[in-house]
Amino acid sequence: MAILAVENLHLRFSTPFGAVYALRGIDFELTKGEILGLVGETGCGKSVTGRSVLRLLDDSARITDGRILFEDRDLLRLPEAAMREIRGRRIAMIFQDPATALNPLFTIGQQINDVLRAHIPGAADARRSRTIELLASVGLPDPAQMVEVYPHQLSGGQQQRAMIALSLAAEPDVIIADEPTTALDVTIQAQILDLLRTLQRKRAISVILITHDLGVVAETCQQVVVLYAGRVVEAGSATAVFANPQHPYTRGLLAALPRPGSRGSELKVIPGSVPSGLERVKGCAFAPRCEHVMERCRVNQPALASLTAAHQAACFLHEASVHG
Amino acid sequence: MALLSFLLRRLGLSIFVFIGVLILTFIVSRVIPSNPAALYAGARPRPEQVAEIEKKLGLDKPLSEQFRVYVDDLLNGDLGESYHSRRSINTDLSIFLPATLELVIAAVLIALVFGIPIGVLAGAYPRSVFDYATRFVAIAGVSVPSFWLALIAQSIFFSQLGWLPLGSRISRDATLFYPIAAQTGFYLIDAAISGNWKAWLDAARHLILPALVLSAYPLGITIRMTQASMLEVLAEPYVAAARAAGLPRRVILFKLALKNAVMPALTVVGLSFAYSITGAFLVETIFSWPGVGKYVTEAVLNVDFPVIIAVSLVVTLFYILVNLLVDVVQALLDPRVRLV
Amino acid sequence: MRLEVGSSLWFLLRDRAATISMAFLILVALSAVFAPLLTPYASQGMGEPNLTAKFQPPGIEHPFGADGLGRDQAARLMFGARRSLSMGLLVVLIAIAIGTPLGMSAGYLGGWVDEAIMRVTDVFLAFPPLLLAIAIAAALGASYVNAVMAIAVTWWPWYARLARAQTRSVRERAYIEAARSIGVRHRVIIRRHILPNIMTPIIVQGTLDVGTAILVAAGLSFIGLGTQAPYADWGVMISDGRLFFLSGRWWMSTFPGLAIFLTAMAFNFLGDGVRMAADPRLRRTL
Repeated sequence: MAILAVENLHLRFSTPFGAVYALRGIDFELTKGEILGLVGETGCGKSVTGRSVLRLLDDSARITDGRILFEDRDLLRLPEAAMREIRGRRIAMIFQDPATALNPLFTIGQQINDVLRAHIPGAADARRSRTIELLASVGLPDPAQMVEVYPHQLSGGQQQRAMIALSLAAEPDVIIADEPTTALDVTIQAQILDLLRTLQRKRAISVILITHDLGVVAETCQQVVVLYAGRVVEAGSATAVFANPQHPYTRGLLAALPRPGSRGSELKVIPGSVPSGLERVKGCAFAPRCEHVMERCRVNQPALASLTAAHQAACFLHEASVHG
Repeated sequence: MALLSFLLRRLGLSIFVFIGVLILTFIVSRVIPSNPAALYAGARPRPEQVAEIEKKLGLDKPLSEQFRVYVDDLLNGDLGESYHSRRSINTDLSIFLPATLELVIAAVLIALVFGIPIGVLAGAYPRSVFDYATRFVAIAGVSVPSFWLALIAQSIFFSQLGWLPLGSRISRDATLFYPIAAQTGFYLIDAAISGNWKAWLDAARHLILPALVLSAYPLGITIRMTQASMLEVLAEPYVAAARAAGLPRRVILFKLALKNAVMPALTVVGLSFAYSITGAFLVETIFSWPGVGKYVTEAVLNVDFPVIIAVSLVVTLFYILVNLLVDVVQALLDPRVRLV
Repeated sequence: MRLEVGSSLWFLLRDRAATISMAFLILVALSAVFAPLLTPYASQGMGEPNLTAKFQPPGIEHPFGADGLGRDQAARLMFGARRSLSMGLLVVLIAIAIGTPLGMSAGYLGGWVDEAIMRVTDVFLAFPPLLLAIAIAAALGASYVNAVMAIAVTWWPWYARLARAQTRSVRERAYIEAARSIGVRHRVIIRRHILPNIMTPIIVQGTLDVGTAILVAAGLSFIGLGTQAPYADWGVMISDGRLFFLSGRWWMSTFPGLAIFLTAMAFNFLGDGVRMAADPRLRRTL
């Protein structure tokens, strides 16, 4: 059952150099109680998609089409006051760099307290004990003392734990984690992902994990959605996509992944770079970088088509192979 | 521990800067002028006066020896005497300095009390009518010549409306019938201590107009800096995080963002002080305000050079102290400095 | 690069306040340059008395009135603009000329050179503005040139700091590292690579500062340390008129004051506009 569905989302930025078409029809569903990985290179639109869900966009961004359904309500049509009830309380967010996403001038306790006060009625001492509970649940040492601590006194990993505690404070149903481990050391990354998985299972939370790292997705997610230039190029269950990647872009990303046992062999890179979004794309946006490019790829845009019940891709190659 | 070492470093810097200020004023008074003795002797001096001063200042001796005497006198608290009035500059300053400080502090308070909230609101609602109006007011504040604004203010509030007195610190009636017992030299404080409320009111009425005029420039600066730092803070990830957590706009603006924005805005206290002092040098004469500004402008007219140098030193010392204080307060308020 | 300049100019022109300011400043500058052609009272503009018109209020003959020596105030304003504008511009140009090389040296060389130059700027900036200028101008003797020198000498540290900060951020860029590693000489690197990159913020600050410099210069003139009689700048004109201001002869101080006020405002609006046009990140706030 889908708890959150993004349908045909279109978004553009107005910049001094003209309109940038950042999202050009995004579709995906987040199944209740699962972790969905939203993957792609920088600039593919994954963070913007995450922020669109909570409507936390700059003034320069405009959603021009599409719906975001949360429990059958379109979040894009909700009044701001109702949206505020959803932020933090129903859908929360974890940010990339905890060092800047935590307010440096307030203690961890004060920051969690603010969230609790905004969403959950109750006395101050109830909030305090709840805060300590939360800090304990994310594995911070000496939680009673952590309440009084300022963000800069924590290590990077501890800061991200505090950030996760903050996002869990009002017991949301969905968490959007935007590159939650990118700013951390590799060893800490694994711990944080582990924590996310544990919490997700214990509390039956649904998670959208935004990342550029397919390795992280492979370890953590049940579902994968691969974005390229503001469109979904491949989607499906993690097992299906990793076992049998269909889109040349997904294959390229997988080939670029360092694997154990492949020491010494050359890492593949995808030549070229992501289009800027300044021009409207004709045909498949990946065509200029694709090694299997065909004539029709430059003219028509392939639609997202089902391969199996749990696997879709937007590529003419797969269509050709099915029919030919 | 970190705080202590920060304070010591900051204090060391202030002392270093003051030594630099001593050297620079020495250069200005002894090295730049072609004939320092003539400059010290004032307008149209007689030759024997010049000779006397030359001897007194030790101008025939090498510069290093002159500098030693110069610093020696200052460290003994001797600012010298005015060759125009023959009065001790120490005595003059003890009368004039409190008058200027009272005026300047009033102007700084006006600038901060109005400037910070206006700047915060303008930063919080960019591209609103309020934002544009604020931009205009702030630019007007830093563009208006204070001495001209003083004349305009006098003509409106004294000549036209008759609401406020023309100038000076206190009316003659007040000095005759309910004189203020001098303690600090700040009339408002002295009058309040002795419960002399009639005199207090009289002094306050005299203070309003010059303080308002002086506050124009620092008000503009305060608004612009607060607004800029508010805009910067609102673009920080922690503000996005607070929005994502569903905190009310009111809490985000006036609790979270404000605290972060006011921290850098505290530096405007020092700047406001500096610009109010600058204004005081130009405006005190117009308001017949018996402070160091009027003292200096008269010294300029009388070519009373020792007074100019002495005031430069003393006022700069105060400015250095204000900046030191601002930095210390900032350090005390910011947990990143306070606890490491 | 061309595209950048073009789009910057376009943004500047779209900022209505900046455009109006620029037009106003061009008007003031033209009236200063062509003052002798624009007024029948050129000699009065340069100080010659005309006692028959003493204290004449604004009217057809003298649109801005006449002063205590009967001199046409419109002519005085135009000739005064020559001095007030040039003082503001010269102060900023000299300050940039002193401050930029020092700041670049400090930022590029680092080490004790940096330390020494920055501590000297600390000392200069320890004085409240104007105060040090008053002392220096008094030491040099009251005159137009000395006032300009005195203010410029107190102003350069701001540019030194700005240039240093910019140089330090540019210095870390890859192409400069590359140029250094292949042995390009420091002077060439500074002139060819660093200077063009730090000029934009300096020009922005300079535009904003001209207005303030005009104010400070007018202040020095007002207390008698600037332009000397029989010539006048706007500060001197306010000073000349101030004793008559409250006794009904309001015009003598009002018009020069307005001239300073509007000119300083125009430079501020223009500077703001240039800043936003030069920095695409700020454009959204237009």
